[in-house]
Amino acid sequence: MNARTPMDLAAATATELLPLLKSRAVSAREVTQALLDSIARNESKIHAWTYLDPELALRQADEADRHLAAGTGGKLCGLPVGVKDIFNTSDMPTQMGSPIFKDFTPGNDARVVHYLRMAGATMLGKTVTAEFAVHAPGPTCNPHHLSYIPGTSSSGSAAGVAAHMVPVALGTQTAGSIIRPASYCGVIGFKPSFGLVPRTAMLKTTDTLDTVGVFARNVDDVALMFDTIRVHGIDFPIAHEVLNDPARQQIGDRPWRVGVLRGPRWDDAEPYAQQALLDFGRRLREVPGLEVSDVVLPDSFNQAHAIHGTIYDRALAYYFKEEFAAHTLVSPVMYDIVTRGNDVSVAQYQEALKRQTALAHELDDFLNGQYDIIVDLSTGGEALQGLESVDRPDNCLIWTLCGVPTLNLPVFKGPLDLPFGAQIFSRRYNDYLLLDFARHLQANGIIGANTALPPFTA
Amino acid sequence: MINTYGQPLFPDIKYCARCCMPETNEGMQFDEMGICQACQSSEQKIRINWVEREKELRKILDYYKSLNNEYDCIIPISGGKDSTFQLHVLTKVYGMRALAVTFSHTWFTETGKYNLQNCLEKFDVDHVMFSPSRSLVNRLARQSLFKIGDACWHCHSGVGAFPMQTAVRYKIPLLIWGESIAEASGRATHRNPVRKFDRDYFTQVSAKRYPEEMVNSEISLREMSAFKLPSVEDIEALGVTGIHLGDFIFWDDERQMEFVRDVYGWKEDKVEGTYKNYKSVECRMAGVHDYTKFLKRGFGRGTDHASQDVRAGLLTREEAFELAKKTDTERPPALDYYLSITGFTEVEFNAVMREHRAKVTAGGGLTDAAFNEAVQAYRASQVKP
Ligand SMILES: [Zn+2]
Ligand SMILES: [Zn+2]
Repeated sequence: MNARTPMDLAAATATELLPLLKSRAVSAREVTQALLDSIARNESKIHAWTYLDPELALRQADEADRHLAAGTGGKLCGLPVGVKDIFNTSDMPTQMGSPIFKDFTPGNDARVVHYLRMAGATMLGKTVTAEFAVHAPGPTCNPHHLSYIPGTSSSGSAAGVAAHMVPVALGTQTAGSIIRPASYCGVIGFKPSFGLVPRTAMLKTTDTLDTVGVFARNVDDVALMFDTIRVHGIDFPIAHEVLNDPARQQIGDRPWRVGVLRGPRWDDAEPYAQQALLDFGRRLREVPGLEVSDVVLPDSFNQAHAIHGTIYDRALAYYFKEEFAAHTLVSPVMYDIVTRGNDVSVAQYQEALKRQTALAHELDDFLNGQYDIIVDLSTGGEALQGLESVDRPDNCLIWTLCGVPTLNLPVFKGPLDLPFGAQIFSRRYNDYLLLDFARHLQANGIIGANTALPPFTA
Repeated sequence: MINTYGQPLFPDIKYCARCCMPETNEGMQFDEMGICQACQSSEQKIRINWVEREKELRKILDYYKSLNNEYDCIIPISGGKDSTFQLHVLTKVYGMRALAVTFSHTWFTETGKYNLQNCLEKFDVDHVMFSPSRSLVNRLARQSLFKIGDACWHCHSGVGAFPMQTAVRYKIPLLIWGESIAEASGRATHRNPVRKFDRDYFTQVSAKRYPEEMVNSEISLREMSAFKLPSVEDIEALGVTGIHLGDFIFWDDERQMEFVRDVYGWKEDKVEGTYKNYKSVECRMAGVHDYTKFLKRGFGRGTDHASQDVRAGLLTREEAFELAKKTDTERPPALDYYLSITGFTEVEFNAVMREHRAKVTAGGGLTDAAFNEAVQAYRASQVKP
C-alpha cells in the first residue's frame, strides 16, 4: 500500500496495516483516527456502533504506539477491532442489545477480548447486536442500501467491516448470525468449528450451538484473528491434535474435492440465487486443482431445522427466564421464543440434543474421505427491504448444529446490485483446510485480496 | 460391542444434563432442567455487576490497609497458579502488603518448588512456611485413607489451620484465598455465596475431620499442633475474616493460568489424573488424590476439567465424557509411592476405597458390581490391538 491517506487507512485490511504499524510507517493513532473519522462520516446513517468512546480508543492506540516504539508490541499491536456487544469489556458497557442491560458494566473482559488485548489489539468500540443475539434486530442499516437489512444478529460487526469503519470484528453464531450478515454486507465471515474459541465472559444463549467467529475483508485477516482468539496447546488435547494433524489440514498433491450443494432449503432460495450458485460451481470447475461435483445430503438433514428449533427455544427459555419475568423490557419476538421454549419438555429437549449429536456424526461421516469442501448459498438471495424483515429460510443453522467451520465468500450480486455470498464449509475441526481453500480461491482470482467495497456513499 | 463413545462411564448414575458432573459429587443439586449448580453459576457470572463487587473488595482491602498493621493480609499460597495470580492481584493491583503463608504438604514436585520460589521472587513478599515431619505425613496419609477416603487429610487440614494460626500469631486479621467455591465445586452459586469462615466451615469444606479424630496408636495429639485451628476466642478477638477473590472479581481460572504463565513464568507440567497441565501441578500425589475420588465417587479430576471445558464451549459433552473416562480410570503411577510410604498393599488400598464407595453411593446407583463392571468394560474397550 503506497498512498496513505486517511481514506486508504480506513479501507486497508489488517494484513496491510500491521506491517505499516510495525515499521512505524503509520502510527496506531493515525490508523485509529482514520477509522474514527470514517465512523464520524457515516455512523449517523449506518448505526453499526452501540458504544464508541473516541478518546478511549485513542488512549489504547497511544499505548500501542508506545509498545511499537519499544518493540514490545504483540502480533496485532495497534490493530483496531470491533467487538459485538455481547462480549464483556472491562472499559466499556456491555448491553447485549437489551434495555434491561442499558449501561451495564460487567467490569471484565471476555476471554477472547483478553486474548486480543494481549496480542496488542485495541478495542475500537462495541458493535450493534440483535437483542440478546437472538432475533429482534438492532438499528443497523445495510451499508449498501440503508433501507435494507444488514442481517442479524452480528449486524454491527458486519456493517462496520463492510463500511470501512473497522478492519476486523468479533461476532457469534447460534443459527446464522455470522454468515447471514456477512452475506448481506459483502464481507468475509468465519464461524470456526465448535470447541475452538472460548466463550468465557460472554452472553450464553444455547450451550451446544453458540460459536464465536470473526468478520474481515481478507482471508489472511480471518486467519490472523482466528489464531489469536482460539485456544492453543496441550491443555486442549482434542483441538491440539486435530489442528496439528497434516492429514486434516493439508490437501497434499491431490486435487481439492469440492461439492456444490443443493441443501434442504434450496427451494426457499430466490431463482437468481440458485442460478448464481450453479454458475459459481461452473466457475470453480475451471479453477486449477479442483474436482467439483454436485452434492445432495441424506434425507435426515431435513430434520435439522426442527432439531435446532427445539434446542434453541428450550435453551433460550432456560437462560432468559429472569429477563422473561421482566417481560415489559423483552421484545415480542423474544417473548414468543421463550413462550415456545417453555412448552418444550425436558425429555423433548434431551432427545433433540441426542439427535444433534447423531446428525453431527452423520455429516462428519458423509464428508470424511469424500469432500474437502462443500459450497452452499450463504443466504437465499440479497438483503431484504425494511429493517424489520425476517430472513428467508436457509441452511446456515444446519452447519452450526453440526459444529462445522464455515466461511462466507462475498462473490455474488443480486438484481438490486446488493451483495450476497456463497459459504464454504468443511469437516468439523478442518478449519485450516477451509481457510487454505479460501486462499486458493483468492490466488485464482475468485475472491479479491481485499474484498473492500468502494468507499461508502449511500 | 456396543458403541459407548461419548457416553458416561456409569449409565445408572444421574449426570448434569449440561456438563459431566455426576450426582455422586458432594452437595450436588440439579435444577428442573437437570443442570448442576456449577453450570448455573457460570451463567450467573455474566449477569453479575462485577464493578460493584470490585468496589466491595476495594472497601474491604482499604479497611484492612487503614489498620496499619505490619501486614495488611495473609495470602495462603501453595505455588499453584492461583497463588501467583492472587499475589499479582493483591500486591500489584491493590498494593497490599501481604504475608505469604504456605503449609507444605511435603509432596512438592520439582515444578511446584520452582513455581513457589518463582512467585516469591517475582512479588518480593515475606513468606512463612510450615512443613510437618516426614514420618508424621506418612502416618497421616495412611490414617487419612481410612477416615476420609483420600491420602491428603494433612494437606486439606493444614492449609486451613496453619494460615489461621499465622493470622492469630502475627495479628493479621484478613486472609485472602483465590477461587470462589461457587466456581467448580457445585456447593454454592454466585447468587448464594458462602462468606463465613469459622471452625466448622473449614472442616466441612476441606478437612472433613478434626485433628482429634485422627489420633490413633501411632499418632499422638501433641503431634497435631499445625492442624489445630486457633480457639474461637482468639479468632473472634482478632476479628479474623476470610474472603475468596473469586467472589469479587470475575474468575476465569484458565485465562488466569495463561496470564501467570505468559507474564510471570509460572510453569505447567503433566499432572496424573487429568488432561490439563496446570491444576495441582505442585503435588506429586495429585494423581492418587484424584484416583481415590474416582474410586469413591465414580469421577475424578478429568471429569472436573472436562465439565469446565463444556461450560466454556470448548468441548461437546460427548467429547468431554470420553476425555474424562480416559483420565479418571487410569491407575496413577504415584500410587506406588503412596503405598510405599503408608505400608498399604494395593489389595488393602482397594478394600478401604470399596468401603468408602459403599458409603458414598448407598442407594445412588453405583454398586460395587456396577462399578467394577463398568470400569473393566471401559478398560477392555480401550485396549489397542
Ligand atoms: Zn453441570
Ligand atoms: Zn494432595
